Amino acid sequence: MSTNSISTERKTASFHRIIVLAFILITIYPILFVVLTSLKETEEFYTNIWWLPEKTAWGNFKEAWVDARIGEYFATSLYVVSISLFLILLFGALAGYALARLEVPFSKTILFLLLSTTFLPSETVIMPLYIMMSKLDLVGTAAGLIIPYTGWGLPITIYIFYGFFKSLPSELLEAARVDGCTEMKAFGKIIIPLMMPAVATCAIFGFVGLWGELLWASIALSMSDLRTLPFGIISFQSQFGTDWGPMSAAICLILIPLIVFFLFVQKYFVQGITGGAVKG
Amino acid sequence: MNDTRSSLQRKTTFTGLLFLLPALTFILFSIFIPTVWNFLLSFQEWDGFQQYRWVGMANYVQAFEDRVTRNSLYNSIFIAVISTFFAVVIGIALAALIYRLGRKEGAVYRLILFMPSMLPIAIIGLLFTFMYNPEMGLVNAFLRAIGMDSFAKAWLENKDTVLWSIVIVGIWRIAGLTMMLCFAAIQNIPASLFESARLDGAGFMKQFFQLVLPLIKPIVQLSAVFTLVMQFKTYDLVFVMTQGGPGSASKTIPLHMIDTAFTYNEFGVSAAMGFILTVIVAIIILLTSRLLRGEYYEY
Repeated sequence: MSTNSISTERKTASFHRIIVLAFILITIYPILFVVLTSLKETEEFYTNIWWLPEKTAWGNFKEAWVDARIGEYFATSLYVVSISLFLILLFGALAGYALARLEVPFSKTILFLLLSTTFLPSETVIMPLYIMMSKLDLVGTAAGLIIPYTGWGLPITIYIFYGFFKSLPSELLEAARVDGCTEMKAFGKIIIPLMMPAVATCAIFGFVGLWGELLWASIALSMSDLRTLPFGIISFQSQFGTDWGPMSAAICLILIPLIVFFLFVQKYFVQGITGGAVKG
Repeated sequence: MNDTRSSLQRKTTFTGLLFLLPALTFILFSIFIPTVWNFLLSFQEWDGFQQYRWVGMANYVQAFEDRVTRNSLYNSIFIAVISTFFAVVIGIALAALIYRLGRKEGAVYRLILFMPSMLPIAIIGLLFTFMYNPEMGLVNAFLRAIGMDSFAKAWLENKDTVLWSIVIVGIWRIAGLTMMLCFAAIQNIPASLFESARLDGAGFMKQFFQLVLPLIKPIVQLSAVFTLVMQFKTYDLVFVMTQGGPGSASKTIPLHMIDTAFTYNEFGVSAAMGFILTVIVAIIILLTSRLLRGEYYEY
C-alpha cells in the first residue's frame, strides 16, 4: 500500500472520528447539563447557564432530598423495585428452567405467547388493571405496584433464562438426575452457580424498566400519598416548575443508581441485548 | 425399565408445571386478563360504576368520528415511524463509523452512545424540557450564539414544531440501541472479507453499501422492530414534555386513552382506541419486518 493511500485512510478516519464525537457531544451534553445545573446556586444559574459552576453548591440536593421529599420517594422506589426484581428473578429463573428443561407440554407455544406480550402497547392493560386492582383494594398501595411490575418484567426474563438453560449441556443435569438428585437439589447445586451472568442481564433489564416507570405509578398512586421516584419528580416539576437547581438535583438522584448499576454490569447488559440476536 | 422412565418423565413434567406456576399466575393477572378484558370492554359501554352494556361497534365508530382521536392516532404513528427511521439510520452509520476506530476508543463511545437507551423516558422528557425552554433553553441559546436569532422559538408551545421536537428526543434516546446491535453484527463479519474488499479497491462507502449492509440486514430488521415497539410507548415522554399540547397538537393515543377513561369516564371508547392502536402497531411491525427482510449468512 502506498504512503499516499495510508494518509487518505488516516484522513477519513479522523473525519469519521469527528462525526462520532459530534454525536457523543449531543448525547452527553443534556445529561452533563443537569449535573452541572444541580451544583449551581440560583443566581449563578442565570449568569452562567452552560458551563461549570464557579462555586459548587450542594444546597440543591438538600432541598430536593428533604424539602421536596425526594428522599422519601427514593426509599419507596427502592422498596418497590427491589421486591419486584427479586420476584421477577426467582419466578423467571424457575419458569425459564421449566420451559427449557423439564418437558413441559406446549413449551414452545407458551414461550411464543410470552414473547408476543412484549410487543403489546402497555397502555392497553392499564385501565382493566386499575379496575382489577381497585376491586382487590390494592390501588394506592405498594403491593398494587409490585404485582403488575413483577408480571410485566417476567416475560423477557423467562425468555433470557430459557435461552441460558437451553445452552447448558444436558448431560450435566441427566448425570445429577441419574445420581438421584431431586430437581430442587440439582437446581441449587449445579445450575445456580452457573447462572450468574444470566441473572445479571435480567436484573439490569428489570431495574432499567421499573426504576423509571411512570404511567402505572401515576395512575395507581394518584389518590394516595405514596410516590415512586419518577412520579414524585413529575409532581415536583408542576410544583417547582422554574426552579431548575433543585429539579436537576432530583433528576441526578434518579440517574445515579442507574448509571452506577450500568457501569458495573454493562458487559452483561451488552451481551444480554446482543446475545440472543447476534450469534458469536 | 420403560415403566420407570415414563414415571420419571411424568414427575419431571409435574415439577416443570410447578416451577412455571408462579410466573404464569403473575403474567396472567397483569397482562393476559387485562388485555382480554380491554378487548371485551371495547364492545361495551361502561362509565366505571354502572352496569356494563354491550354496544357492538359503537365505541369504534365514536373513536373514529372524534377528530382528536384521529389526530392522536396520526401523531402516534408519525412520532413512532419517523423517529424509528432516523434512529435506525443514524445507529447503523454510527456502528459503521465506530467499527473503524480503535478498540478501546470505540468501547468508550459505544458506552456513552448507548446510555440514553437505559434512562427512564420521563426523565429524558424532563431533560429536554430544559433544552427546549424558550428563554433559557440550550437550543435557543445555541441558535442565538450562532446569529440565527430568528429561528429561536418556543419549540414545545408551537403547533408546527412540537411533533418534530418530540421526534428528535425519540431519536436521541434510541439511536444507541441500533448502534449497539449493528456494531455486534459488523464485528461478526470475518475480517478477511474486509481485507479482500480493500484489495479490490473498495473505499469506505462502497464497503459499507455492498458488503456490510447486506450482511447485517437481519439485525437492521431486528433493530427497527425493537425501536418501533419502544417508540410507540409515548405516554411518559409526551406527558412530561407537553401533556399533549398545545391544544391537542401533540396528543398521542396513550395520552388520549388515559384522558378518555379517567377524565371522561368513557372506558369503552378508551378500550377501543387501545385495540385500534394494538392492531396498527402490529401492522406497522409486520410491514417493517417484510420491508427489511434479509437472509442470514453463515460465515
